[in-house]
Amino acid sequence: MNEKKVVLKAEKLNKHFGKKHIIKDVSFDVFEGEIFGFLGPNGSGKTTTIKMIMGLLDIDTGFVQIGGFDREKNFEDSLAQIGGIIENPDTYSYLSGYKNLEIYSRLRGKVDKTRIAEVIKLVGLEKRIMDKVKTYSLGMKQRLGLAQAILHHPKVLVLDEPTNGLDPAGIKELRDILKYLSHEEGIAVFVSSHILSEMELLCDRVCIIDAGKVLKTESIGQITDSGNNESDYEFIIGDESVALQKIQEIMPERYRSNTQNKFILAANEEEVPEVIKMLCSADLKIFGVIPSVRTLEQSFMEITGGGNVIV
Amino acid sequence: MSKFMRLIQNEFIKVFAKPVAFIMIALIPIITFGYGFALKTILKTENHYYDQGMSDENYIENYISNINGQISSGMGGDIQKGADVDSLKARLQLAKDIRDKKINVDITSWQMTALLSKVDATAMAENMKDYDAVSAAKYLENANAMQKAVDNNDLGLYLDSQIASIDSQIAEAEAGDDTSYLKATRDALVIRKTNNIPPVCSDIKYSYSYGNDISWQESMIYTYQSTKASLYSGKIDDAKMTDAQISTYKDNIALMEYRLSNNIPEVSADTQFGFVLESASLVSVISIFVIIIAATMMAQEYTSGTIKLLLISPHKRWKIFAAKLVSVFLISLALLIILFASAVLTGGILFGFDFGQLWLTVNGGVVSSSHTFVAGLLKYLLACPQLLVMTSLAIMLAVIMRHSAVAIGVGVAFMLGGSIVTQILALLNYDFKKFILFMSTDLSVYFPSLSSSLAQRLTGSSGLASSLYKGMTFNFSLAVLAVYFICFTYIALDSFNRRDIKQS
Repeated sequence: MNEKKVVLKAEKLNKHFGKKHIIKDVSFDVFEGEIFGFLGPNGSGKTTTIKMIMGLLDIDTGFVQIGGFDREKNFEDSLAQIGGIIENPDTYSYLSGYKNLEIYSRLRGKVDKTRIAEVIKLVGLEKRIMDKVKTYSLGMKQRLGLAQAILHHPKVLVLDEPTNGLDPAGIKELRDILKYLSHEEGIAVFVSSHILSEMELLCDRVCIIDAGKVLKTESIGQITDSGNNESDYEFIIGDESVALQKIQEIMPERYRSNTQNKFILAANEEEVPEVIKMLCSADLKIFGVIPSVRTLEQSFMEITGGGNVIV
Repeated sequence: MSKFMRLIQNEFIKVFAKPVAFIMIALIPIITFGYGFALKTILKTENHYYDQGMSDENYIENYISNINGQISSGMGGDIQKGADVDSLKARLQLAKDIRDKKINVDITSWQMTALLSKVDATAMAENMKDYDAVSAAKYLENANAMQKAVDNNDLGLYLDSQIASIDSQIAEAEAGDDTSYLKATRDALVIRKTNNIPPVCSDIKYSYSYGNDISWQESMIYTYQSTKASLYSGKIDDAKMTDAQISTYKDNIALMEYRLSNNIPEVSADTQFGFVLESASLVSVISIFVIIIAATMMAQEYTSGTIKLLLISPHKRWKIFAAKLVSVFLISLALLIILFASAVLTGGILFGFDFGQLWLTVNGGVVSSSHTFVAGLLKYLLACPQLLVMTSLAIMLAVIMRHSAVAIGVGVAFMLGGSIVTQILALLNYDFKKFILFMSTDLSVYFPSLSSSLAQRLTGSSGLASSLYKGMTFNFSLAVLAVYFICFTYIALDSFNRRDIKQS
């Protein structure tokens, strides 16, 4: 296992708004080249934490390190390593997309026209880049925001609910870009979102936060794993009442649950053919066999206690 | 440093991407020209305000009937000071002679005054010849001199005998009498003689000494005389003169003597650079523009949310702030330059181009000469500290309000309200008024040579000499402006530094 560098470190962050303690000892590490998901219900403190990382809110106690630089002690150096979109893409609507990119390029040093052309191509805005941003759709603004955020080759890219307002094509495009950026260019991507299905497809690791506290930080694979060594398989079996009875007879220890004709049985990959044989011998009709994986949503509800309703 | 310059470059790009900036730039020459046009119209009407449009014959007829009235009522009347009945009768005869064309004289000329003096003196001599032959002879001598001067058209002779008359009055004055008026009159006569400036007669055409009908030299000599009178008596309106006032008055005397002997009139507002000096009051319009620019530059970042991206960029917050402050100030300077250019152009178009017009300054009684072009530049330069303070004020409002429209509204209200409050407080005699911002924004009041005479004429104030600015000096006002600037900037920066951007 490679020793991966930590490019974004949050250590015991705390924040009070007046008397309310809203961020409680939040800690996490983000490695280079990974997509790190930050999940939580509404009001759990995701945007607040992000603002604290980016320097838009004061940190009461705790520290943030970006690319090894402490954000308080090395303000300018640490911020040079990070780029992001917070809440909404921030652009000057009365300027063209290109002028916006120039301004942000200038904010971070000399205007690098090659790099600007690169990012325009990456986010797919070549056709509309010279138009004023106020003529852009939300999806285009998101893409421009993304282009701005990566202009200066940051080590960390922070995105707050980036799929808001994107159509399915846009969501897939964003996912592809982010995977490219993280896996090919080695940028660490820190994404907060509500949309669990998308996060499941996108992230390498996730951190679940609720009511200002970090509940769990794990890889996607781990968090959707039921925790058993065995996997579950879903068998679509005809004649369910008979099937239920027969399974209870033949292999009661494998039975997990069933929803009508969909039976979830515990079995390793190697054991599947054996199980099929046994079911067939019992005169059961098998219509399909698929691996049954716990969704992120299931794990999430479990971990957060299913509190708020999530979109 | 180049990092900082890039921040400023960004700010400029943002400002000039919007039409507001160009509207302001276009408005400046328009406003300047409108102001110039209005001024020119006012000056035209001011000229002959007092002229009732009567002919000379009418004036003579009026005079005759006035004197008849005075004679029949047996009183001396207030038109002729100290005249008695014989003198009145003599004057009446003179007026009739003029009316009947027996004597040919311009009723506003010095010859007219000379003739009036002659008939007065002749009447006095007649009265006195019986009981004071010596005085009577003197009066007769005077009367003859007057007539001789008129006959020979000899202004010098006329003035000499006036001077001699005053000298004997001064000699006859008792100890304890106030001779300052006499001395001042004598000095005025000497100046007239030196520079060959005849006095005008306003006895008959009494409106003649008002408005622009008389020459600038004539009105300057009136001022010269009253200034001298104050210096001799040591008082202005019964109040003892301060050292500063004495020094100022002496400087003014030196200046007037220089002007009269070198024929250099004061800079009036209806000349190219007289107008430029006058138009410096338009700087307050620029202040309003500065407020608008600062509001759009700063407050709009908050309302549109782009402030976030500025604040997550790798620059310390104070640098981002400083870039905006510097940018706004540079733009205000640019607007000032545009205003100056507009004023020069407007002045030239409306009043004729004259870059060679002379401008006099006086220091410690020594007069030096320069050009009004320089005066214009100086006056506008003096407006820079004021612009800096306005910049910091505008930025402070924008940062605190975080909303353009509110910042603009409050800023403009502050400016207008501030001027009104200042004027009210200035009338009341509170000592703290000298610390009010708007008392110190116009630094040119400390340089009387930069004020245009029109302002004084219309408001009747004498600027620095008035009690408005009691106890204030140029350095004091500069310090006041500096303190306000530091306070506004500090408050603005403190608010800017407050990290919590809770909502975009």
